Amino acid sequence: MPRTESTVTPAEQIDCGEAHLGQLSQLLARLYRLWLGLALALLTLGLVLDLFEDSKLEQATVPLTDLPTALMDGQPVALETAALLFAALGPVVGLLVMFSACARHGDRRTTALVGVVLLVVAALPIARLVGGR
Amino acid sequence: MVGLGGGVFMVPIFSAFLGVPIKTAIAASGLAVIVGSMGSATVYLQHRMVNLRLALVLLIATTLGAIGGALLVATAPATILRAAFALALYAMIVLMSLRRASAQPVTTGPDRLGLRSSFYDPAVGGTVQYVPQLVGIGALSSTVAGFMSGLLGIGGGVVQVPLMNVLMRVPVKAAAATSTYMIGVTVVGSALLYYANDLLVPRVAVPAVLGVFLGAQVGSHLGRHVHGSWLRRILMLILFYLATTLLLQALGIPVPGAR
Repeated sequence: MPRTESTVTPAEQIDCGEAHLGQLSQLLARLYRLWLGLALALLTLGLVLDLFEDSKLEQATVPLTDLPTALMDGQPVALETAALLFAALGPVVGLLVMFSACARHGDRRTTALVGVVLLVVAALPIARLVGGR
Repeated sequence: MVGLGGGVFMVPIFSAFLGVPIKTAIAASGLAVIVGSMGSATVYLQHRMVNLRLALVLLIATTLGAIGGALLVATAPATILRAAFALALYAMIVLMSLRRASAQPVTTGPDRLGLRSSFYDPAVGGTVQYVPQLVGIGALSSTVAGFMSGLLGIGGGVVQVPLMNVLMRVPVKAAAATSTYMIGVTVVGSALLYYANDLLVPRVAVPAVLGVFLGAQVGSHLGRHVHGSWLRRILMLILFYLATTLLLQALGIPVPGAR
């Protein structure tokens, strides 16, 4: 199988150009729009089911460890909890998409920056979520 | 409509007038801030106005600050939080009342971190280029915006935008766009901590998130038809009233109509 010549110059391999970051921006915009739509749809569904069940909203979210079971049982509060967490994680998914896109493009500097931000965002809350609830 | 985000109104109204514990109000507001930020950021990202690499550099500082603030929410007494929120609102009023001249962007010079960027500005009918300045100091100062965000459940854009514009010489439109994108990421860590600490209450958070999203849609359309200076004055009066109510409550002085 003949090898194709790369059109990326060594300088571009080190850094994403502005054109690539622009494309990435538009990809993130589409992702955010889709993510928000899904999160708000889930949240609205949970709200409607909860109000149908007992005409009032719950006072406490479902702990992470019980969430899968509660979702399988069809509890409206589980759906609300999942929707709230889903909405909260939207920006993290954006970072993961950016990490993957920059890594594939060979932009080590931006990939490293996204990696550090992901680490800072995730480290402490995940430790508390796993250890605390 | 005014770019402050819903948190600056939501937390004092929920806490002072609806009887919602301030920590619950802060947690709900934090989540609403993420949704609001994502909604607004889609427009800025679509128009390539967000400086993604600059955002990443500053996010390391703001997120650390926000997590520090969120950890304090769980342990700080409610009266301290009320007083801190009131003082932050007074500071915002002062910032809003200052007529800042927008700093001119720097277009040439060293750019070791590769943060140079540009965007199309229809108001000037061309592309605006800039190289952010004093990035190290800007990143350190961003920790304050992050800390406020995590501690009070607000966006922090009121600190971040002037910081980027005046100190780092980022054009104000790019600063607002980059700050809006950053707010969502900054608050994620805090929001997960609020959840881990049982501060996220569906009864408050679900209506808050849906309300902020709908309000932002209405506000962004309405904002184009309302005169900016009058709107700012009215908002400053409302913020002053809310700040004073919170401060009086923190001092144990009863306020008519407040709980």
